[in-house]
Amino acid sequence: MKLLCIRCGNYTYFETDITGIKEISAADGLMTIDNARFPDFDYTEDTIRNNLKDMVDYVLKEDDSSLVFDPETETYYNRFITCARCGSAKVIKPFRPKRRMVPLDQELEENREEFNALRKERTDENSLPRLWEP
Amino acid sequence: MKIVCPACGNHKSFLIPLWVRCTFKFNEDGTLSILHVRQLESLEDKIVDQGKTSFAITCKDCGADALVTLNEYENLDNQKAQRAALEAL
Ligand SMILES: [Zn+2]
Ligand SMILES: [Zn+2]
Repeated sequence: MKLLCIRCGNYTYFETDITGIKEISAADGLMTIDNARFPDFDYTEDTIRNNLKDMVDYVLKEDDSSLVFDPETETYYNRFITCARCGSAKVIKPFRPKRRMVPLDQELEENREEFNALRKERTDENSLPRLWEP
Repeated sequence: MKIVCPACGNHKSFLIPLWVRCTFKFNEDGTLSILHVRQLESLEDKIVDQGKTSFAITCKDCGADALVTLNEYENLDNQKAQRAALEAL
């Protein structure tokens, strides 16, 4: 679960506004609008996919700047993403308990055996008997 | 109305940025799927506003900012309307 609507519980469907690109073609005094296509790609489709992904990545990474706190209702509102089910902007990253923070020294000590095993694997690989001589 | 590229002379194909509302879903594997895309801006307004907004119509061939000129008669109509408005005062 990456985002959660705290109003209706939806964590699947969302909405956001992004910039898209279209092509205007002029011929014989007529103007038509369509997807902007280049020989090997559809620029309109690529832009929408990329901008949507950028927006979602941004909101997931920078939740401090994408959430605004409303003191009156005491809830957070998402500036960029709304719930596609109920329309609410109360879309937040689900709460995850913070990982226990241990001093780095202690963490290295705890993981020492695992690291040594990993290193050993690498050294052993280099000393495997040669089966084939160039 | 006429659109031309002052840099390369192209008068056929241009790119225009438009705000869209995108409905999407998170798939179980973490990827995104798009369910619906809705255009939020009127193209006509956008073209007429060219030059007033920070988003410009650009040339599809060379990327330069395009030049939009409204039809002469549209301008005349406009002038006439303005004069009529002034006279009414
Ligand atoms: Zn909701
Ligand atoms: Zn050009």
